[in-house]
Amino acid sequence: MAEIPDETGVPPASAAESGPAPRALPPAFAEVYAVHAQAVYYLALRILGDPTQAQDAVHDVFLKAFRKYGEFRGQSEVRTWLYRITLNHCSNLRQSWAARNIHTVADDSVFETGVASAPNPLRVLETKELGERIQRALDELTPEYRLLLLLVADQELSYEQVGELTQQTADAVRGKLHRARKAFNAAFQRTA
Amino acid sequence: MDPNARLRQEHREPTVSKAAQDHRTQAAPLEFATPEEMIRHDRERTEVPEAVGERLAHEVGAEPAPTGRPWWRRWLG
Repeated sequence: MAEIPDETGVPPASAAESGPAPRALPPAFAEVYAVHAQAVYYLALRILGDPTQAQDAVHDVFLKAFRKYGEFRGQSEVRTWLYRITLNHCSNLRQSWAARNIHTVADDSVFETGVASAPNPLRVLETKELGERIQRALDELTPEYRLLLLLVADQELSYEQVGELTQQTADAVRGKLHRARKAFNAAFQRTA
Repeated sequence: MDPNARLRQEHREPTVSKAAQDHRTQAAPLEFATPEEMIRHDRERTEVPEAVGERLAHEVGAEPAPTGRPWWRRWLG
């Protein structure tokens, strides 16, 4: 993992997508990767709070998607389907971390490795202010509020789709969103 | 502390002139009306490292050829 670059990198000049797709991927799948990888990465990054784990998650999610092509029926949007795989993946990871921590409570070094190995300090500094404050504020929220804000921030998802991903109605999403925003605002102020 | 206050973030831009390099970098406040707007801004600045796609391409290349019509081809029409 040490060869994988820093947490977030420099922002793309104008592209809203993930940038050029890897050339060795089948062209159609490369297009899927180009459109959705950034969203999947960001969701994983803010849920896991660890860039190296988030990079692994993107890799694993898209590999799983490639292998499970027969299971996608087109009943949901590709973004929603990829998010569902991502959420399951992150949930499994967090559970395994929690299980591991029962045995090794003080072993925080595992989680610090990725950030410490970032090769470009200027890049990290640039993203640190906003990205780290957002991360710290999100970390203070309940998992449900954190996930709601992250999903609603994706304008490609409707409230119905957010509800589908979080197993509740769109009305429930709307109702909780207000409280999630208030909680985030308060938490964000504390990160100053 | 007003939890409804607009979210502010100091965004430091690199200075352009040589003279300015001796001074503190300029800080232009970015304002976001909602947390989602702030998160969206942060997400747009967050790139997936190229190595992830390269590693994925390597592993996909080693996968057996899929049978049937892949979902990602159906999705693209």
